[in-house]
Order: sequence, then structure tokens, then C-alpha cells
Amino acid sequence: MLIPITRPSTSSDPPLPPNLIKLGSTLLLLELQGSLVVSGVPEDGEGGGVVGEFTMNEEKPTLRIGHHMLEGKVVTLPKPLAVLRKRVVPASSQPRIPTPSEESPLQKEEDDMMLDEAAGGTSYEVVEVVRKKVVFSRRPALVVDKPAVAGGKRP
Amino acid sequence: MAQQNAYSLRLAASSEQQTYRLVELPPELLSIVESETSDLSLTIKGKQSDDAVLCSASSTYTLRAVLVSNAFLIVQPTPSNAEGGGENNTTLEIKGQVKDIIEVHKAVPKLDRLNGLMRGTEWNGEDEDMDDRSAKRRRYTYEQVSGVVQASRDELEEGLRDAHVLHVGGELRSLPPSQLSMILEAILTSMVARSFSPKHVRLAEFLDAMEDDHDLPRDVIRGVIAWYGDVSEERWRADMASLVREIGLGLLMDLRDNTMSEADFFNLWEKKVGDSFANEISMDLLEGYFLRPEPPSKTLIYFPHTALPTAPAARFADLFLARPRWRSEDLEPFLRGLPGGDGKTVRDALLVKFARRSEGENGTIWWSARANYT
Repeated sequence: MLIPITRPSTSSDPPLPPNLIKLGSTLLLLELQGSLVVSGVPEDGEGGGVVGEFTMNEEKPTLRIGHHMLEGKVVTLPKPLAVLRKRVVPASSQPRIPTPSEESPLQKEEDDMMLDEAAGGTSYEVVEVVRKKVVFSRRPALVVDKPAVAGGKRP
Repeated sequence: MAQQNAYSLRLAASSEQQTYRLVELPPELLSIVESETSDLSLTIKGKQSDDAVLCSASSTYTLRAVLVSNAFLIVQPTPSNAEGGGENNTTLEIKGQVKDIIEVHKAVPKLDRLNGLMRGTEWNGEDEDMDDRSAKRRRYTYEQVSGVVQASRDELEEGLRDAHVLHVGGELRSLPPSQLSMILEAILTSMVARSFSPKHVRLAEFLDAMEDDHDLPRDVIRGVIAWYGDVSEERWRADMASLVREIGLGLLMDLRDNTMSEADFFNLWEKKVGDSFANEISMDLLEGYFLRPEPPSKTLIYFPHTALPTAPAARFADLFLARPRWRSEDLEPFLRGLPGGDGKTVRDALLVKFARRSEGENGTIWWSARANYT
């Protein structure tokens, strides 16, 4: 099985706004302690699926989610990270990079080769190489003074 | 107006969410990814049951997913619409979440699978292909093999060459040593008989000659000569030394059943190679593949370094089993295949670690096993 890694076929990724450009050219990497748990499906359209507000003041990034204010910092990655985006050409569930836990049917090793080899269709494209990340490692602080900013502006 | 520095952060619509992977890039890969070429020639290879490897054109890397307790969010700006507030209204979208980072480490290519795949694909002359039976046997194309053998293009190329694998009619066929020797001798005969100059063999003419003289198919010959020298569209610049060496190796292998002294071996080798190229013959070409006899015995021994273990301790154990003590210059060729064995400092360090040095009466330095528990 061969999974090619390519450059993006279309250069459709919009650039980051000017004052975020030092974090990357088309994407940002935010590191959160824990993870973002989302229940339900975010509604499409403006104002739907809003998580919070990301602010970049000089060197200090902050993230406000509801009444929680997270203070972050910009960290240079020890090793640059390539951000790969998975592309599946035919709409079928293709295997990703096999993890060690995957079962290994060792018998008939050579017989399954033909099948194995045909498992194409998946590829990864290198969206960007990121060198910096924004880490939010502190505990969130409660904010009560400025309500209803995070909710997105409505016309 | 001041630059906007607060951005609304939202989840991308589920239809737009994608699977992302974060891959650590070692310096060599970074330079490939950052180069201007449009074709990265990076590929993830292996069967589903394998641990995946990443191959560049020339090297192989293992991939290991490391789970991290933090979540990484991939955030991209939404494409700005022409209408609406313009640049001041940029929102950031969370396109994906990643929970592990893939570490990349340089690795040795896993070529051993190649031997298994090539078993039963031996090319034994054209006639055999007419046989009905052979049609049922499993044969592989280069593409199939390259998808399963976890090695980069260059490493696979080298592995195929070391294993003497040919491209015949779109399939990979391994060439057994006996066939190879026969073909090489045929090549030499025709080169002499039709007075081709080794430095510039006209390819089309030469392939015709081989077909006429020895009934050997063109694609087989073309594949074989590419291992010895440099083949372009119209000519072959032959590397006679390596061709002569290969014949010598074939003869050495036969020593297992058919012992002879070094002088006899040399004569036989000369006879096989023929007068025109006899001056290429030198035992140095076969360095690392034979042992000179110890005084009581007179026969040359086939002792290929490629069959020795690659771990230093095991290799030294084998070497001292074959011979209780070694002269430095005799031992050296058998240490080259060890990791780092190309450098003299590494070899010396290994010697000091695994062998004991002693000096003979006339100043020769001998190496023997470090511990002797008898």
C-alpha cells in the first residue's frame, strides 16, 4: 500500500490576518490542556458554532470561552511540525496510518498482498510547516466584567 | 484604524471538518518539504499489518504516533467574503483537532521481505516460460513490490540489484547465481568475438549480438549490464572490474562443493574471464568474501561477510569461531559491514572492545577473542 504525501492541489487556503502572520502563514496551532468537547452539531451560517474569542495583543494571546479567560503564550516548537490534511479520493473509509494496536493477520501474508496493494485513494497533503504554537497551559480565569463579546457580532 | 486583534473563534461546519495529522520533521525532511519542487516524492508504505514507514526518494523513516494529553487545534481563517465588513471581520475556524503527534526517525530499510517475495520467481531461461505450470506461479510487478517492501526508491533499487532481480516483461524475476555466471561469460565472449570496446558498447548492436550468439532475450541482458556500469539509451559504459568480480564471486560460491587452492582458483577465474580481461583479475576484488588457507590446509574458503551477523558482538564471536586469531589486515574487510564500520576509528574502537591484541615475534599484530573460558 502506498499513501502519497503531496502538496495541496489548490492554493485555496486564505492567509492569516496580518498580525497573526508570525504564527504561520495559513494556519494557527493552538494547544489546549484537555480537549474541546462539543455536543451537538454546530449550526451553519454566521454565529453558529462559535467557541469563543481569540485575541492577540502584542505577544500575548488570550482565548475567551464563555466566562473563562485563558492566557496563553507563543512557543517555538522544538521540531517543526508538518500539518498534513487527509484526502480521500473515493468516498470510502480508507485506513489511516496504521497504529500499533491494529490487528496483524500474519497468516497468508503473501496472499493478501494484491488486495493490500490496491488500497489506494488516500493521500495526505502538507498544508503547512508550523514552527510556533500557542499554548494555553494556565488555569482559566473567570471574567464577569465584559459580557456578550464572545458571542459574535450580529448585524 | 488600528489593526484588528480580536477574532471570533468558531467550529468549522461538520462537512468541512477534516482529518489532520501533525508530523515532526527532522532536518532532511524539512528541507524536502520546504524545497520549491512540486513533487515531494514522500510516501507512506507498508501493509496494513506493518508499522508504517515514510519514505523519501532516498531514505526510510519509521513513524510512531505519540499520544499527547493536550489537544491541538488546527485553526484557519475563513475565506473572507466580498460583502460584509471586509478584512476587519475575519473569523477563525477550528478545522480539526489532533490528539497525537507523529514522531519520525530515520531507519534502515526493511528489505528482508524482498527475498520472500522473490522466491519462486527465478528466471531460468526463456524456455521455462512456455511451461504451463509457471503461469500459475505468483509473480509481482515493481509497483506491487514497492508498495509492500518498506524501503525508499533508491534503497529498493539497490536491494533489487544486490538480490539480482531483473525486470522481465513487466515482472520482477530473480536471477539465480548459476544463470548470472552463464550470462556474464556469454557477455564476455561476445564482447571479445565482436570486438566491442568496454568503454563504449553500442547498446542496440550489443543486444542484437547477444540475441544472435547466445539466444538471450534483450530485456534480460539490458537488466544485467545495468548492474555493471552505466547504461544510457544508446551505449553501455562497462565496468569490467565489477563484472569480473561477479564472475569471481560465482566461482568462490562453488568452492563449497569443490575445494581448490588459491592458485587453482586464480587459474580457473582467468580461464572463465578470458585473456582479454584477465588483467582485471585480482584477489582484492573479492575482499571480504574469502579466507586464505591457514598453513596446514591449502584450500581457499568461501567466507562472505554478508552472511555474518550485523551485531558487533555476534559478528566477532563468529569470526573467532572461524579462526582463533586474525591479522589486522585480514580482519578488516569483515568489519566493514558493521554499523559505522566504514570509518577506521569505529573499527578500531570495536577491535579494542571485542578483541585482544597481541604481537608476534616478527612484529605482526594478531587479534584474538577477548575472553577464553576453556
